[in-house]
Amino acid sequence: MSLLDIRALGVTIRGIPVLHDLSLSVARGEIVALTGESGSGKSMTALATIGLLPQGAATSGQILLDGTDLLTLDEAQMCARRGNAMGMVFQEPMTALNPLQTIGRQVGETLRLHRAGETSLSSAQADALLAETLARVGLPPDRVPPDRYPHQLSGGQRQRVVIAMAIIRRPALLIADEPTTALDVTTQARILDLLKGLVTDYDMGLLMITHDLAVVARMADRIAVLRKGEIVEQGAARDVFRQAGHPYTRALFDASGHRATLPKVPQRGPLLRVQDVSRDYPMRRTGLFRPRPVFQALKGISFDIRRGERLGLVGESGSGKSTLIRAILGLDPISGGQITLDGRPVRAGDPATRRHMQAVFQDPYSSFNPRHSVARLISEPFHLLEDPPTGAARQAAIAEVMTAVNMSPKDAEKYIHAFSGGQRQRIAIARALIIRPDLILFDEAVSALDVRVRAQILDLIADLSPRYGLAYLFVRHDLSVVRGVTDRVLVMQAGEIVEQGPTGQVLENPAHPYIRELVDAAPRLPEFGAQALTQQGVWDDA
Amino acid sequence: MRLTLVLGAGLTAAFLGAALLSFLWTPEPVSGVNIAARLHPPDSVNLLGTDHFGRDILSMIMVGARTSLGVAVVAVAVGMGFGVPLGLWAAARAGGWLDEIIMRGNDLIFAFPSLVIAILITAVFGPGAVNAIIAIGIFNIPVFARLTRSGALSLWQRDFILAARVSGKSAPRISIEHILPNLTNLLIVQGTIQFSLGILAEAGLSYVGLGAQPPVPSWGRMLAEAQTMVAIAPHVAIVPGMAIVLMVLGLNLLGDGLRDALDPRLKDRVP
Repeated sequence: MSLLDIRALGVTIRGIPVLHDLSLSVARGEIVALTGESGSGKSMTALATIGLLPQGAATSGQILLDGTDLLTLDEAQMCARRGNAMGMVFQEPMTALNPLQTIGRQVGETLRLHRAGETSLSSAQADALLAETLARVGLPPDRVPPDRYPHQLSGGQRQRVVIAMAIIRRPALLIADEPTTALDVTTQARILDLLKGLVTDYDMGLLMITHDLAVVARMADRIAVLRKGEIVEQGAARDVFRQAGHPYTRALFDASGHRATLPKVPQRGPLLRVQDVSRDYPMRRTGLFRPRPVFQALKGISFDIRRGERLGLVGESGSGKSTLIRAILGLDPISGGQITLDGRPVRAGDPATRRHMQAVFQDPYSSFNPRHSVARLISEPFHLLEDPPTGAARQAAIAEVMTAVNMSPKDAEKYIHAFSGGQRQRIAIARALIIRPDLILFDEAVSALDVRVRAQILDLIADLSPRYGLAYLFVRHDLSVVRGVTDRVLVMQAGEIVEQGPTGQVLENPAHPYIRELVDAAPRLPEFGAQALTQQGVWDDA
Repeated sequence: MRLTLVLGAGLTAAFLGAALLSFLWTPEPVSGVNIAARLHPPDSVNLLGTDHFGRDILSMIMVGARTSLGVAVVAVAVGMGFGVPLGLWAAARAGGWLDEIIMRGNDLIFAFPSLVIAILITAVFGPGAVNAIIAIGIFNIPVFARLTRSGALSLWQRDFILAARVSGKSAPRISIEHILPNLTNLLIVQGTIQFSLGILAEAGLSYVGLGAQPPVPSWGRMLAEAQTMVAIAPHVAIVPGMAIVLMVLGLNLLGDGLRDALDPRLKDRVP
């Protein structure tokens, strides 16, 4: 019998259906991945199971956990099961932890809450269990003392704390909602290994929610593909990957492995020249008369971008990518070295160089002022021009860039809330294009997008570059996407460029151990067809 | 759920209407002393009765509303007029010495009990409506400065501010074009709350004789004059007291209602 058995689950929120006739089961020791694009109802399924649906939600159908229908239980009975019979791991480990409590206290909280239960533990037993659990998730008390606070830990360690909270009572069912989306590639690989090991060790069922099909391929025994609140395809992972039956699944797979076709373009002369740039941040003095120690965010970075060149910049969080971007844009001062664009130094108050550069940022939801019309938003860079176009010329310029990013010029009259994430990112690109810059910085510009939308945006970027004679710097925390849209790639680690070279060459034959680690850690998507799978050795037993 | 908003707006509108109407018409002139008709309880001639000089209390409440609202409006305007720019300025230079000076200056003002200092100011510069406005207005400045700064600080972290900086816009320009419009909800709600506090402060100052001077009617002074007569003519104290309570209640309900209505988490409409 299955551990978790969801039967014909329907959920509506204030009368709007979000899940429809959803049936899914998870057995002990099994990893079931629930995948789909944002808004497909993945998280709602998890919240319905753990009984934390938002207000105004109504359910139908059954959610059986060990034969008990969770939907018929009252809040007190659900509380007894949460943490005890089922645990949950959230996406964002920083917000899932209380910043004012030590990690030992937070992990132990579940134990204390359920102490009144039948398996009440003595204080010594509880401490022993806490230490054992922390050690099991990779936080041995001798190396990471339980009296640390969340802010003293790295992102990966925080996620381990959240996992420890979820498993300390050894629940039969673990629900993980995008557990590695907020983490770096190498950390992601370790957390996925940890989850997989826990499932085997404790014979848990894991319902894993993720949009990343490469993660699914690495983890799941079975897959359910969700679209608009309905499961369109469900089956053993290898069957689904080998022969995706539903066109939607196939579209998702295609988009995940998508590589834009990058036309060859002539690259002329240097455009941006970064020479020995460093950036120091002063830190707190260690003593009253001691000098301030400095943190070197950038340690002598040098590289060039030539006209029309498409350059990738890869590095994990904390490697100094953002500092470098802000320095190039002239938003933050640099401590040493020089940044020149077309031979002229980039300075904060100098519109003459800055009008040749624009940027597209990561989050399509916060990159626009909600109170301005799209026309006003995308014409904002005109501020950099000495003689900005007005009237009909301005309208024409707006219409032209809107068309260039495959949007209707009429959309410029609307407000930004009318658009989806992908459309917003198109508008962000339109805003960057409107003053015809020579260089655009894409700062994680596709990270927040669903795979199919991401594929379209990457195609758009690849297509615009030769049309506008555009060089760009494409910044990304992992290597997978960079491959399709760049000629050359730089890899940054701890404020230094550790490797650079043509993208294909760096990815195929990485010289530096760090890049090898990055390449190995990145989950890979198996290609279609049984042959491809066995060739790649993903399922050699097939 | 919109009941608080409707109720608050209704009460506020009623007092506002009465205050505006008093410019054109009152049931009886407020300076119409008629000792023979003093301390009449409410009847069909004097709807809310008369005071110890025989003046019509309804008329005095109407003109008094004018004083209260006028003082509170100007006091809130003073607070916003100085506080919001200071808050925007501090947020634009967050962490710098200017930010420190502005915010520590705010702390200094906050450190003194507002009504006591208001009494001090009016006592030193002489009682009167204008000095009352200044005294109340000064204490509104740090409230708005802090609110604006904290709201602006989180907005400065947003990507659209980064985009505006990439477009070469200066900090003052970003503050006016991007930050301020996104703070209006916050300021409207806080403005309503400060408005009701202003009414209360004005009544308090008038009560101790430091607000608007006779013969201009004022709710606080009506209350002060009535207190010796509570035993024989309770309506003389109850009516201005109720006026203050209802006006403040109305404004607080309006503030709460506006906060709910303008809350971005509940909002799903065109800005």
